[in-house]
Amino acid sequence: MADKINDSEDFLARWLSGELSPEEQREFESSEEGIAFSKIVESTDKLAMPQYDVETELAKLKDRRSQEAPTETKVIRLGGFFKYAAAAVVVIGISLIYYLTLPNYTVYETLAGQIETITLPDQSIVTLNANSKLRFDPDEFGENRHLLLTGEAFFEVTKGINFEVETDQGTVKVLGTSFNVWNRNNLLDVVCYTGKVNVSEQEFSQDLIPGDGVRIDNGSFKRSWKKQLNDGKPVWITSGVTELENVTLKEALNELSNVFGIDIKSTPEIDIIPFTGNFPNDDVIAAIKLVLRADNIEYQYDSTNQKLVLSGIKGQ
Amino acid sequence: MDTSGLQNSCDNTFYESLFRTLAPTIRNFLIYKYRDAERAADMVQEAFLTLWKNCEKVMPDMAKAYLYRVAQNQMLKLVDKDKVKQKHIQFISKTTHNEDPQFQMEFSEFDVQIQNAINGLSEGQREVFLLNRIEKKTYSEIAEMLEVSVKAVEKRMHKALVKIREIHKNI
Repeated sequence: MADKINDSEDFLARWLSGELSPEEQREFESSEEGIAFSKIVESTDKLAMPQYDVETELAKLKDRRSQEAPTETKVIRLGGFFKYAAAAVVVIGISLIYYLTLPNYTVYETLAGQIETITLPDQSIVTLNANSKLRFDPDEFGENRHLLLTGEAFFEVTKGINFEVETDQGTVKVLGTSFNVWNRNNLLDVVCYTGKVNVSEQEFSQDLIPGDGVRIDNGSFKRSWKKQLNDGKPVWITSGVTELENVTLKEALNELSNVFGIDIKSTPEIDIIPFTGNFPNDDVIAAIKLVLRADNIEYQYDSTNQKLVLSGIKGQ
Repeated sequence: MDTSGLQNSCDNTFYESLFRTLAPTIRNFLIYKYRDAERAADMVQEAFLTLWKNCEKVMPDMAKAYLYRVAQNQMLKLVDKDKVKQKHIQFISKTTHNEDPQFQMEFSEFDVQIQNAINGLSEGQREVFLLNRIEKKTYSEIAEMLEVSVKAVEKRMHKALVKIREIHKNI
């Protein structure tokens, strides 16, 4: 049982949320480890936080909010950070509070079907694909070029200090190069286009040279491949085509949804069918046909409401 | 509240209902993450003031994520990271008697050890663990608040429990 816990990354999380099968749960809870963890959880169930009086806090908030005029002599206490002797100090204090409280993350987010080109403070260029999000701290960017990404983006990085892109499946570190990062549904695909890139997640670490691709699946290395690079950039930028290799239909349908913004209803049997193929990003009917025809899937597409419903596999 | 008619977050009724529903959890979340109970309530106020100041740019369904993001950024700017390491969450126990809020369950030695272990978790593990155990938030709700994947939340939950057990064994 101890092995099951040590080898897994989420077993205990699934146990707690009741996602284990009844037998798995019984087996775990009667084991030595299960008993120990149950005691721990029982103890945490007793915990609470000190009282928070919402109405009092709301009243306080409304007071402060209505203090617009800088010549107000009313004092603002902020846990004692700012002294409040004279009205003049209060004036500076108020504007400092507002200045210091501005959020400091720069966030770029795209919607379905939207592609954005972004120039970072170091002149690196990021092309962000649909339904993706890129985030970084501009204050820190000068010392450490660290970005967080979910979704897909193509990076062209200028030479300079450390540049890294973190996804929740792994981190890509670079040095004056260009590469594509695709992170959706617990998968991470990285392809190096120029220069050299390192991809790492926990103990796994691999360097990529142009044409190298690597996939990390649920935190572990899945496969690597060699790709023919015709242009200096991926086809979703140069030709408006989505390319998918060795994914399941679930990912393919997800990409259809990202590009065209359509609502898709599928079935579990259809989701797991493997898929390798391309579709154009400017023709939804053609794209749907390309994704579904090979597997004889029955479907209905309502173009007015942009809804695609997959009913089943023909002949089954 | 039906927010379909709203263009942004500047509607007062919407803003106040947002506070009533979100402020308690955001305040607790800040304590779980930064272990500074004194500053948490003020930081919630600051976050909401910032929202008000920028209300025109924030759509109603983005307000929650905006508040969580702003609250964390503000806390980071104002809290000295070294001092935070010495901070400690003081838990209280749930009241078991509704008639008598003074009556609280007592903590056993084991309970106190577990609470110390929770204080010893990494920030990321602790915030997820307590949001789930005390606030009763689901993994997808937590993922949305923290802007990470559900998988990442599950991993942190798992690691948190493993670590509590490790720390506890060593006491």
